[in-house]
Amino acid sequence: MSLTDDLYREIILEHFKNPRNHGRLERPDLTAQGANPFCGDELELTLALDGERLREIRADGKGCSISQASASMMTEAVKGKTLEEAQKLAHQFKATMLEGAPMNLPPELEDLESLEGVKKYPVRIKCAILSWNTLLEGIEAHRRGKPAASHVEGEEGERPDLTQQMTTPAAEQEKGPAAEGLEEQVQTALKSVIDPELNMNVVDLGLIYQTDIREGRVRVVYTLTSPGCPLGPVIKGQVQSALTRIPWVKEVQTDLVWTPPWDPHTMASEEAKMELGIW
Amino acid sequence: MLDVARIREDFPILGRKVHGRPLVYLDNAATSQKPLAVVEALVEFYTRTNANVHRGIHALSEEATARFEEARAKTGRFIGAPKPATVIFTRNATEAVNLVSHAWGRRHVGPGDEILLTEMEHHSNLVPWQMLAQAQGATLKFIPVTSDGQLALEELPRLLGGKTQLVSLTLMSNVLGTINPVKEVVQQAHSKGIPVLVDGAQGVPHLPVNVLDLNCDFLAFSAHKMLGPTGVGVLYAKEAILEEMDPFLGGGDMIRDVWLEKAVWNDLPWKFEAGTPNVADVIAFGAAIDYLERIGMEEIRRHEEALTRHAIKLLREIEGLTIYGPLDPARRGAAIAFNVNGLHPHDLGQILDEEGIAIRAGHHCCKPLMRKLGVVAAARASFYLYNTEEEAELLAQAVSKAKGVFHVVSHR
Repeated sequence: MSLTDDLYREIILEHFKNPRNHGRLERPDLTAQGANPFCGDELELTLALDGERLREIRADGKGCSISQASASMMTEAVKGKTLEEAQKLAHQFKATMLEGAPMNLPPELEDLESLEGVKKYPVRIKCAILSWNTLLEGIEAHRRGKPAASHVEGEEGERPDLTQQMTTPAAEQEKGPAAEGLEEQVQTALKSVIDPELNMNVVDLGLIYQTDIREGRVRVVYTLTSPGCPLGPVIKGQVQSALTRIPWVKEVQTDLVWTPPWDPHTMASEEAKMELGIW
Repeated sequence: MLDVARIREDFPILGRKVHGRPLVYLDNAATSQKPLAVVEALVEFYTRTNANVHRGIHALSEEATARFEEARAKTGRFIGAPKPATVIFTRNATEAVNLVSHAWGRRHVGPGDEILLTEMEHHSNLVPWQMLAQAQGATLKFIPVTSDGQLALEELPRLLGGKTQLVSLTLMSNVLGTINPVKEVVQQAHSKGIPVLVDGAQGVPHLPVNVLDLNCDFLAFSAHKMLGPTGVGVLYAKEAILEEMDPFLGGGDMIRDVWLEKAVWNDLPWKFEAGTPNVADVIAFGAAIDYLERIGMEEIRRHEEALTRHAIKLLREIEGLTIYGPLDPARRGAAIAFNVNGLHPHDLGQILDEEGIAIRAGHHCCKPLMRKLGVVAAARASFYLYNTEEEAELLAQAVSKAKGVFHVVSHR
């Protein structure tokens, strides 16, 4: 099926040619004007109410097949419903068009599903939702005690929404991934600490058991290759100086532990094992 | 005769496919495609010459300045301007019109004064004057458009009154394609001492234009509609007018000397070019002008006239299709606006796009004219030097196909 077939389903064309509930009501309880300045589409809805129920609805206007067919289907879908039901349906339809939500409709409203193909054409989505937005504006005006409303579809049409808050890399860092960034900096610093005997960094050797970061304080739990390692103090000093060179680090605590005992077979990185000749 | 096949080779984009079909680009009134020479000029500038202009004593800046000013001279020659200093670079034709409405308009248009426009102006030659009229308490008047899309010139003597300070009109309508008798309008206006601005955004890319022959006081046009890059517009004006005009924007480059409290304006044309200009694009625009001159504007006009004749003939064979504007190709350019009964232009545009054919559908930034035509929107196919008769045929076929899509139901 080609793109065009998808957009111009026969059912859409049929509604376009023979719009349901077309025209104006003589004495409407509620009038709502809709316009899409980008296309030049115009729409007028006139509604007769029985209390909260939408007794009659008519749509009149000029526009492309999508906007006209959508208006025709809308009138069919909401006629006889309560205002609340109509609003719910309008929101459901808009969610399908704008957010790609699935359209789960009762069988009597299946014509509306033919409009689902429109959502692949961002420029045309506004055509499809014009009548629904106009209806929503009308109902809201009615709730505020006004008999008329007007709705103008955004002229931005095919333009991106530039009003959303921008997310900068800096802002992102302050949020979720922040801890990850700090953890990475600690690991990088620790990798500069070399065990002089094995000539390999303490991280890849698996000597660092744990690091905790809290408010500029870093606690490192580490071990040594053997309890009798004469270089213990040297490594401890290197860990401390490497970490204090990180600008945000205020305090470093080093805890030397012997359990579990260091085992290069399970603790060293693959690279380190290759270097050590263990595999 | 243009060697269109040869010309098309210079435009790589014309070889691409859209939705699996070869591109048929018929939206030239919106923007034209760019030949390799223009793209290469941009690359060449940024890879070899890039520097700011009019400052710095190093070689790159001198080279950039020389090439920037060379492009100005080319632009001036292209429109027959007497001096390069009468050519001012702006961002686009719209900005060129706004420059005049601010820098000239605020001084010469006062309460009760009138500005005479036409009913077929693009929003860019309408809204700036509305803003000026509102600010100064002036009134806008309009030369009416006849049913066949021509200016009702017999109204002109009556409309050119004692209060008229300026006439501003388009050389060629972006909707109707109409080529306006600008020369005659200028003669009548000048006989009453009224200056004339010509909006050449559509006319300059497609017609041989000579400002001394038109004798217009201002001419505004855009590079991107004539093979050049986006972001470059041109304002030509008579030297004496520019001399006495106030600057438009303040800043660097437009001053000769500055104290903390005051500044002395630079010479023409820099007085009107505040800040770093669009150096690379202006230089590439020079390449576009070279290209157009090598082909020849007379040749391009002849080619488009033949193409317009062919396209109009094919489109008129389609039942229910209405063409707006004059049908005689001698009186119009190659922008053809039309509607098909029962077919909204957006639906038509979408179906044509599916066929790889790019046209414009909408109000074409001419809402008052559209209202007068009694339509909310129209489809518009616009041709240029690289378009072919085959493409006009593909357009007509696709329009017929679109009708077919929409007749599925009516035949049932």
